[in-house]
Amino acid sequence: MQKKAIGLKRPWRPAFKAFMLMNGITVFFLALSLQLSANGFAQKRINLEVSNAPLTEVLHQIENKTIFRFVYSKDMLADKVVSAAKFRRAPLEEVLNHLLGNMPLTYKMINDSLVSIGERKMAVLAEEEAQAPVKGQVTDENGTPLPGVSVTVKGTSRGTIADENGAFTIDANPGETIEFSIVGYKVQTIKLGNEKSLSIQLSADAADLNAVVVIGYGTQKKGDLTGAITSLKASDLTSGGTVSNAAQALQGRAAGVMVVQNSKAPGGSISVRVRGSNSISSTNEPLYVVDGFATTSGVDLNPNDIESMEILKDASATAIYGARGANGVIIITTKRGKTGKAQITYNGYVGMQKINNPFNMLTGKQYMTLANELYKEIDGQAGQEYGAYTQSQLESDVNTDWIKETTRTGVVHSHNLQVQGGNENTKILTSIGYFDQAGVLKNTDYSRFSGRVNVDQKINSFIKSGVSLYGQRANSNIQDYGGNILQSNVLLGILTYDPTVPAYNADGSFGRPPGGRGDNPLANLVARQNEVVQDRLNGNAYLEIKPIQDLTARVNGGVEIAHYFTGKYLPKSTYQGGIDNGVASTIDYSSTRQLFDATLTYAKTFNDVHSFSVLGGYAYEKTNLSYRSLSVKGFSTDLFSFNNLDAASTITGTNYYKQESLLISFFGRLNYGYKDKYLFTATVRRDGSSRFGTDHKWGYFPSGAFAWRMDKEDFIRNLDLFSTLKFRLGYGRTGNDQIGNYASYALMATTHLTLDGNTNTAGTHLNQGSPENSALKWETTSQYNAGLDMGFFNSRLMVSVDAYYKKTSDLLISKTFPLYSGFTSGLVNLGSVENKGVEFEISSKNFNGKNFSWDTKFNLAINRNKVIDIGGKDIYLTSSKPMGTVSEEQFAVIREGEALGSLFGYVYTGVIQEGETYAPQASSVAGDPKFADISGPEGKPDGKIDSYDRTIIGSANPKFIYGLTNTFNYNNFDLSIFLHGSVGNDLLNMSRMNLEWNRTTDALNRWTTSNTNTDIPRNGFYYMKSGGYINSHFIENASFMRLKNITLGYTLKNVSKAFNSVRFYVTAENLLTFTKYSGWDPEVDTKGYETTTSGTSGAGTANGGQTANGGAGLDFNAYPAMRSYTFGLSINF
Amino acid sequence: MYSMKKYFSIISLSMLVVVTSCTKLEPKLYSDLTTANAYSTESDINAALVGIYADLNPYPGDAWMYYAGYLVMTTDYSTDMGFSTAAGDPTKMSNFTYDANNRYIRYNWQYMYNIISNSNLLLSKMDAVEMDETKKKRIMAQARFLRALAYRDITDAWGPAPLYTTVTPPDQTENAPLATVAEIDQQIIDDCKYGIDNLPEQWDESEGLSRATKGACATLLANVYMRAHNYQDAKTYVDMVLTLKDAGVYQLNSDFKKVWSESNKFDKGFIFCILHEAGMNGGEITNHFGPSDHPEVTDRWQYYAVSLEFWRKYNDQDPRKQFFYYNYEGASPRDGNTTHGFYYMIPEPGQTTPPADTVKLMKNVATKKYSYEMVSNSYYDGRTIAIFRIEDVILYKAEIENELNGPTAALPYINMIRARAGAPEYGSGGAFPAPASKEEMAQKILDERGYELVFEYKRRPDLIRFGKYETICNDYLTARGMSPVVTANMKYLPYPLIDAQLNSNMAAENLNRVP
Repeated sequence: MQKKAIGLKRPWRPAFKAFMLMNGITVFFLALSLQLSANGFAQKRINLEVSNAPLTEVLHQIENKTIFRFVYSKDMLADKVVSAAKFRRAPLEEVLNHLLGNMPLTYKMINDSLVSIGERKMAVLAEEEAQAPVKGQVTDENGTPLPGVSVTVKGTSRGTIADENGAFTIDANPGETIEFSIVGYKVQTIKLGNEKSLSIQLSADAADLNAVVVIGYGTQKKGDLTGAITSLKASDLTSGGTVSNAAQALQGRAAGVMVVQNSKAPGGSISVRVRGSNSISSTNEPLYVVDGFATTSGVDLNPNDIESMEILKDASATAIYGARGANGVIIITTKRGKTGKAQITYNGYVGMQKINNPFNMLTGKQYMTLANELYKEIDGQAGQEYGAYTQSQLESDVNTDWIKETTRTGVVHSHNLQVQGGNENTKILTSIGYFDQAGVLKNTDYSRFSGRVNVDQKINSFIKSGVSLYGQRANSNIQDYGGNILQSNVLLGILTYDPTVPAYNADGSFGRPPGGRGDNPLANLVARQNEVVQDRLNGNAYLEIKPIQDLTARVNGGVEIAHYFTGKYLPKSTYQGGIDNGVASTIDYSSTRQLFDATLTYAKTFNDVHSFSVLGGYAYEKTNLSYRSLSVKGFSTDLFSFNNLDAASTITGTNYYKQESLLISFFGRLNYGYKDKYLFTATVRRDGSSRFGTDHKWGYFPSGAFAWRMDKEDFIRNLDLFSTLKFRLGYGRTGNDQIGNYASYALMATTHLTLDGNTNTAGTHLNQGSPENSALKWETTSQYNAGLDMGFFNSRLMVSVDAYYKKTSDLLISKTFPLYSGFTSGLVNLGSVENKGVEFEISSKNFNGKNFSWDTKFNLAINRNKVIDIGGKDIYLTSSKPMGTVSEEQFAVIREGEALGSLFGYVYTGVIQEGETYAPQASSVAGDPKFADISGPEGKPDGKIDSYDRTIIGSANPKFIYGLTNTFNYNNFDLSIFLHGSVGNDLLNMSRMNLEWNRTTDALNRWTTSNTNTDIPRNGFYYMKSGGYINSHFIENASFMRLKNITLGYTLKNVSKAFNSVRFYVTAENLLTFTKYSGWDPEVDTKGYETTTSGTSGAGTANGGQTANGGAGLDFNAYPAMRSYTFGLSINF
Repeated sequence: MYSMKKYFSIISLSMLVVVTSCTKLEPKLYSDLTTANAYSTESDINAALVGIYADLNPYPGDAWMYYAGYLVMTTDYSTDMGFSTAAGDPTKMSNFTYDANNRYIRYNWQYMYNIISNSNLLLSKMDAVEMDETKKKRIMAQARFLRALAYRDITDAWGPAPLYTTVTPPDQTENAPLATVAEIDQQIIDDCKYGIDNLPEQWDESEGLSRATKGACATLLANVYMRAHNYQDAKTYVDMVLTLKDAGVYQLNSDFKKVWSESNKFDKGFIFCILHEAGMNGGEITNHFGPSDHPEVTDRWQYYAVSLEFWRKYNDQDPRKQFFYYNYEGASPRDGNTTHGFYYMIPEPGQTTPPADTVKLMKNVATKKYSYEMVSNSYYDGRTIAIFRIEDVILYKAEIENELNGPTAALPYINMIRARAGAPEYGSGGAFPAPASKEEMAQKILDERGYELVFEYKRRPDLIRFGKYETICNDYLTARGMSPVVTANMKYLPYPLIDAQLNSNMAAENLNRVP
């Protein structure tokens, strides 16, 4: 009956108005000015006419028309309806007395405009006795007054609300119990003695089960969650120090989320793994959803803009993202405007970075003497004197420290300004951020300028709408860190280049050895220009309509435009630039993602017992990308750099392509709760993708979950152990659709040829990596999750434990074909991989005093990965070449029964000694490396060292990873100490392969006839006659514990009228690292960054791919790790 | 109820409109061709043929693989001819310590089979294309010639190998059987004969000078017969080429050095070659073959260079001996105190210590072939790489005559090459008597092929064909003070590891093919 009446009250006009809004974003900017004038017209007298309206709505109406603002718990008012009210210029008291008169509610004026509404306990008046007034004050843990707290005498109707100073007066008798409650804090009761004055301190409710958590296409109360979701607020993320993006902020903060910065280069790529690697060939990066907009590049967001990050880990949480949910989903919600006083916040810091150099290099003289010795040890060259350096060279005193020449003190600074504010109708946040890092390697830097406007506009109480606009430009000077010849890998040069060559010649040109080709490392670094500009613009808008009480319709639409530009120039001072009179190239890569989705949500609670929420939705996504590159040479001047390719004499190459992909989805979710005690969630998504082969265009991804709020059961309450206790169980299927846009087609590649020596003719030939496969489809991950959320000691100690098992089948595998097939590889769906693990998250308020508090947060994750089936044949992954003239060797294997990241090679057993005959290596001589005879063609040792003797020699998978944060507050000081660690993982130190035998002082300990007690062979691993350079000698334990961040801050409050608060802080990052690893950095993954869309390896987004997934655990010429010290300032105006 | 219904209907209607209009999932292909639409027209077919030619020279613009230079590592290294001290794979080829994972073995194999699969694909599509029959046959003949050339290269290096003449899905190729050399030869013979019947003697410049011709097919066919020691059949086709020479289609360049001039892109000595132009289709030929630290030809790498032992075999009176870079003062100053460079000197056999502290003993010596008369000093060059030239065929003729009719019959042909080079002719007296026996003549022809065709991808097949691979290679190793490790099985290289892992026939065979 009621609904009919409400329906009649809804005019058409607002809906129309809202649609108009969607059409013109300009309106939102108009709203900016509206907000400024809104307060000027505020009234104290109330005009009101309603009938059968929800109380909250009536209060909203009052808020809209007057200066009054109400504070209340939504739950408390949820089902309250005002049957009729009619006032004209009435005072507030009159109106509220009427509205609340026959409800169990009361109100309290906190100040002139703020009104708190709380519960009024109904009781039998007859039992009332005369009471004496008791006064008091309520504060929070820090002693700050807490206004709006509801104060009631238990078992009576007496109640009041604390005023703006937290002060209250209530009539109560000794022996009665007084209860204090407010949302966000734990309820506190005291039994009154004879005191007439009370000082009450409420502690924040850590469990905070009413806190809102963002989930796919909606939100949910934390207490109602059924899936495994880690929710991090801005304050939980790493802030301070040189955190340049969202993923770095996340590192070590959430159990089961492994963040690896593949390269420490400024703007270097980052890999994020949620619960291990599911996929062998496709990406394992999670899906990012930023303010409802699905994107693959969420990692490089300005961390200052982030309000919260929700990491959806299990299938019940991610299945609503269907074919893209398998790798987990990270939902990023950016800050939005808030009602109330406008605030301006400035956050800034400046820091410096220094490398940690673990290498002891040989001097120039040592290097030359050694080189001549090594020369003689090559077969057929015994007795050859001065083979590498002549006598005259040996007298040279040049001793260039290439690390010193090429590195510097890095400088980082960052500035962020946020303005937020709004009234009940319009809320706006604008943010501008600037980040700039000059890397520790010369001529490597990264800067980002970003801006954001988030606007929410309430049209009326049932229509709202909003827009998020975000734009950023990142500029970097980067170098190629991934290649294996000097020109394309500056770090290879820095670590291995001849120390007897001066950095500069007397005439100012770059030094080179006599007859040497290529550039010295300094020239490579500073002379070549390599600029990458990454622009992103994202705009999306939503419209939300609540046509009736429990129904919400929402449409969301937006576009994300990304443009990457790479410009390279080799001036005439460089080797190749000198030969070719300047060599330039540019790459333009742009992508446009268009997204539209619409959802309809119906939420209703029946009889206070059955709560339902049903969601249905549709989504359409289209992505276009195009790539254009042009290479030229032959300039008259270096001045143009890569900015005027017209000025070149010769075009040497071009490459263009354009692609598109479509994703269409239908999805639904049902939540049902019985008495808030038993909670059920079911979701289903149907995804269709243009990437899938013609045989499998559409897939279904269902999930179901159950949660039991055990703390609501008497038998648990009676234990008096748990303050909260919830058990969760879920199952679901999700997919991974990242298979390349046209992967199911047999594609051709274009080429060209000259048939007359002057002109070129266009040609086509097979793309060797893309045979036809019409059956190609998504990978499917089935995941089970069981979790327990426990709160102890009034939720001062919170423990969450999750255990999961997931199996990914129909793996997208880049299957290696015999080369004689004409193809190198092709994508197929084959086999399966499993991951299982346990995650712990613990947070504890160890001490909570007036002046001093100490909190601890700890997370730990254990994941075990196993390849179950890949069709019986091992897949081998090939390394980069450690130097230009050797072959790539296989360094990792994907093998059934073993984990991804299994490092693979020969087992090194030491040096062959003089007089020793080792039958399996008949041609080896004393000083050569010796390898174990593991197997042979018959599957058993065959007395010969060959490729059959390779085996798994290490694992890139940690046994567990953990993060530990301790936060201390003492008066105005705050101190946080963040430790991050990884235990049990190995790295293949391929950098050492090039250092140990001829570059670092280790080489002095190599085997010689007079130094036999050593495990370093006589002349390295590149001249040996059996075995391979990939062997266990270079496998190192890369476990580490790192003092990642230590920050000491001091906050000044109420400094002046201009500032609300000012906080100063100093941070040290990577101050201490405990590790046995001998390279630059134990936290590195070379294969994670080798290919990127920006056309330059070492920066941008981690792409995944077979080698990246199966080949984690390689360190080859990693960017140096550094220690950073920063000073920061936050000002709130 | 009315109003609520209206809301629902509006929302569901708008959703319906969106949904029905947006469920189409076919993506548009903008810049990609598929095998389904790449062979529809005559123009498509021509482009696909150009694609196969381009496979001889992978990565146009920065070409270094296969015939752009890389092939020299499997044809001329691991013989007495090429030598490198570079760590890893080059040394392993030079010292006969390679294994199946050697990159030169892998990549040359890969690009050879790339040609075969692209040829098979094109040939499979020809029936469906409407075009002039003669043109069609010419296209097929070129594709078949290129396929035959790739199969010759495969059998030269590896002997038995998988034989594909039709399109085979790659997932059906594991453990493919190894066809014998004789079986593969038969396919090469068929393909070449088809080419001889259908290809012109020469192409117009507008059609493309470097396309396969009748003469190229005859040369390849003769080569394959000679490899099988079938001199009678080989003679037919060698004579066919020499008849074309007599008719003026082919001609010896009067100056052997001019053949290698960068401006001499295509002359009548070339029977089949790949061309380059320094802009969009340059090669790294000069970079890789050119000398290091040389004052005239600067900034080159000397990546592929000839062993001192082989170079010493040239007679001092042979001008081709001077066609190398040796005994020169380097371009770069030795150090900051002088403008002089090191003196790069060829050591005397057995000399292990430089005579002065400013002298460097050369380890190998770069040929002038690919850097003679440079047009510009650019990083990439526009040089021609010969696959067959008339000198090659004239020496075949000498070889055939020696086998069929004895040394006297062979003499004029070997002397034709020597005379053009300015080297003393055999039988001209003094130190150059005419070889008296067939064996002696065979040795002289083998040597002459080395002198003339150094670093033209001939040495390994020549040594094998003359039955001297083992002895010459072992003698060479002994001369370098190393053990003579070369065995008869090593005339064939191991199959690339990556394929042996997917083919048990190859894995089994590989056990015998490494030292």
